[in-house]
Amino acid sequence: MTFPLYVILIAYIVVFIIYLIFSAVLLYHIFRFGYWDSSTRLMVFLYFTGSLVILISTIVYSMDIDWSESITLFSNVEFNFSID
Amino acid sequence: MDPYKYFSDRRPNEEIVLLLRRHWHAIARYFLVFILEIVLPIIIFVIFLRFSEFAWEKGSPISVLIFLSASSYYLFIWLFFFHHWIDYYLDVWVVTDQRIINIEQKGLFSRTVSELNMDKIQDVTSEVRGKMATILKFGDVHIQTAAEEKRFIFSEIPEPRKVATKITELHREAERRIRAHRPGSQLHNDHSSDESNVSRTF
Repeated sequence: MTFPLYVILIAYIVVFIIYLIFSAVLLYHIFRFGYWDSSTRLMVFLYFTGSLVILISTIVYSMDIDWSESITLFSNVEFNFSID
Repeated sequence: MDPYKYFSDRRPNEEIVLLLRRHWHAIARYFLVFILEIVLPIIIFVIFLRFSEFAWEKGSPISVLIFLSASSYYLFIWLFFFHHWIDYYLDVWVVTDQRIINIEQKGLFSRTVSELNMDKIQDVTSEVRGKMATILKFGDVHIQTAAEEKRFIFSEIPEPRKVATKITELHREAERRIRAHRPGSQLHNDHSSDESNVSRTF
C-alpha cells in the first residue's frame, strides 16, 4: 500500500484538531466550575507547556521533510480484488 | 479563594464547615500510570532499535510516520492526564452547618450536584480498607438518610473518622436547632434528652 507522505501530515492535523477541541472543553470546565487558584494555575500552565513542547518538537522535526515523497506500508500484503 | 462559589444557592447564615476532595493518593495513582505511559513506549522503541535491523533516519518516510504517531500519542496521554486531574479537582463535597452538598464531575459532559439536609441524616459510617488506606489515612464516609433514599458516599477522603465525627456533631446541632424552633418546645434546654436521641440515631 503506497501513499504520499502528506496524507500522514493531514491525519496528524486532524488528530491535533480533535486534541484542541477536547482541550477547549477541559479548559471550559476548569474555568466554569473550578477556582482560579494556585493549583489550577499550575496545572493549566503545565498543560500548555507540555502541549507546546510536543507541538514545537513536531514542527521542528517536520520542517525538513519532503512531504511529496511516498511511503509504502504492508508491502508483503497483497490485495486482489479482481473477479476471475 | 471563595469556597462559596461551589454552590450559588447559599442559605441565610449558612457557613461552610468542611470542603473535601479525594485524598492526593487518588491523583497520584493516575500520575504513576501517566509516567509509565510516557516511559514504556520509549523503552520498547529503544529495545526495538537495538535488536532489529531498522535504522532511524531523519526524514525517511517510516521515521516520519513513527514520529507523528508518537507525537499524537503523547498529546493524548497528556490530555487524559489533565482530564483525570480535572475530574479529581472538580469532585467536591461541601459540608455546611445546614447540609451536605455533593458535586460530582462524571466525564466531560456530565456534572451532578446533590444535597442532603443535616437533619435528614440517620447514620454516618467511616470506613478505612486496605494497607495503603491505613498508612495514608484515607477512606470512605457513608451517610445514610431515610431508607428509601440513596446513601451519600464520600470516597477516598482524608481522615474519614474525623469527618464522620464532625458530621455527627453537625447533625446533633441541626436537630437541636430544629427542636428549639418548634412551638412550645423546651428541648433546647434539655441536653440529656438530646444526647439519648443522638446515641440511638448513630
